[in-house]
Amino acid sequence: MDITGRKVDQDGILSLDMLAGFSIFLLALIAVFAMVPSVLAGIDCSGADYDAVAYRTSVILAEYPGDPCYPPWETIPASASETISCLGLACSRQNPCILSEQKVERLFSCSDPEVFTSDDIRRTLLFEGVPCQYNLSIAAGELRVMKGNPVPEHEYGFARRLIQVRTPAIMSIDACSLDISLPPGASSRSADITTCFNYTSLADPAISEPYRIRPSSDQMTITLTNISEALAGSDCSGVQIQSIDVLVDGESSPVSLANDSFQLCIDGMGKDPQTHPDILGAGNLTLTLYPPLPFCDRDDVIVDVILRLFYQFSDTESIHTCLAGVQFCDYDSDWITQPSLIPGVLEVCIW
Amino acid sequence: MYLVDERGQLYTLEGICAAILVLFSAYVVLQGGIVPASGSPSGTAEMQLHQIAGDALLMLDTPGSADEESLLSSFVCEKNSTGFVTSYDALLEKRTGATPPGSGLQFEAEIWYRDSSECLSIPFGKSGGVFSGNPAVRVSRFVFIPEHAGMLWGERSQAVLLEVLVWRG
Repeated sequence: MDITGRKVDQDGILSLDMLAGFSIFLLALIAVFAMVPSVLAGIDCSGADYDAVAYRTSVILAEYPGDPCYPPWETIPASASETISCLGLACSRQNPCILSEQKVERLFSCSDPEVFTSDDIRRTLLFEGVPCQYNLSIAAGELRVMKGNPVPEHEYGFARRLIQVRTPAIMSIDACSLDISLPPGASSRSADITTCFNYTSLADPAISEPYRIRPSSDQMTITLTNISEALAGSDCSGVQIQSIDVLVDGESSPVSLANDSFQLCIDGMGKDPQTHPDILGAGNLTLTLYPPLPFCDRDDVIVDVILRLFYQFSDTESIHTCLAGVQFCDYDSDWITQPSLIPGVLEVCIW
Repeated sequence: MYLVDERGQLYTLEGICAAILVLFSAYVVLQGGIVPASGSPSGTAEMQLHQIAGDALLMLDTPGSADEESLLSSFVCEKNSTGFVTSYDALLEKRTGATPPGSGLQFEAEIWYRDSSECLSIPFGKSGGVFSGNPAVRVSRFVFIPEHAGMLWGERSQAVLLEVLVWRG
């Protein structure tokens, strides 16, 4: 009994009161947990995320030259693609939005059996392990390339960059300017057509970097035109390609180019120089040198590319005509088409 | 010795206090910790606009070959604002065809130059649209103008600043 005379039942009052207080506390706790999903809902914004991924990919493509730089990634076969960590298309970090034509062709190549797989693209341009679809496309002049899946109508991340695709220098030598006359006598002989690249003079600081001829990193195309016209009056019974060598200044003898570092085409047909193909009667001969040329890590070197032809003459009594000479690659030569920039656009879609 | 009512009120009050405390703590924590959605729609749109507008100026200022002149420089030298508007608009609308064309972009440009002791500006062309307060971005590029007769600042060479305000029409 308390002082008022009522019967005290402390345990019962305590339990009910405690229950009321604890219930209010629990309700508040439930309300707090209920708040959390609504707060996090704003973060789950997939469209905006993909915009950011597309922007990042467009920056990598347009502003980074890729990794590795030496040797350039575009010369690494796709079978060794795990050594490539970034598929940037820019010629250099100093000139963003100027893309290398070779890198663009390499990345977007579809006919090549050694094409980059979707996994390679995700690892080097997107986020590895994040499942997403992509569509990369470039349009510049005649060039129209695309890689990836068709773009859906809605809900995709998008980035667009204006770019210029740099085409490397093209050397076109008229064979008529190389014909020389030799005294009669021998029934056969060999003669060299030499193209000389002086790295020091080509790295002319007066020429802005995107417009420089860079044999160390550019694909060099040397075309010999009008061969049949140049040899029309000759008594040649056969003109065979004997060898294709490279001579570097300071070296005593030329070295042969590796088979995978160049391509030889006669009238558009690929030929193996080891088989000594005959060019008598051919219209033109194209020698494409893939970077890097030997010793190109030196910047003060002079490299001679020597095409050696073997002539067989039918008449030993008459004066012989054959093709020989040295062509110097520089910015004043009218037989060189200088590097040029073709304006275009790059689009990246991610979803 | 305790009064029965007092003891009961104490426990209920504790529950209410605890509830208020939990709610207030949650409010404070969540207010401070709200992460804005990455790249909110307006921010991403402005970023893309800024990127494309800057790229277009860079493209106009990069000649196609070593012996060509910068288009941007020649437009300013020749006071050819029509040529600038046409070329800039064509660049802004350029597409690969992989995606449908978006809404058109509008812009207006002005040139800032130095005349003796003060900096002055003149308008340098605009697209057809009227600026209606849409989110807009401003991009600029210094353009080198060699010695040229008939310029507002005289014949001397000068690097002028070309500013372009771009917005979605």
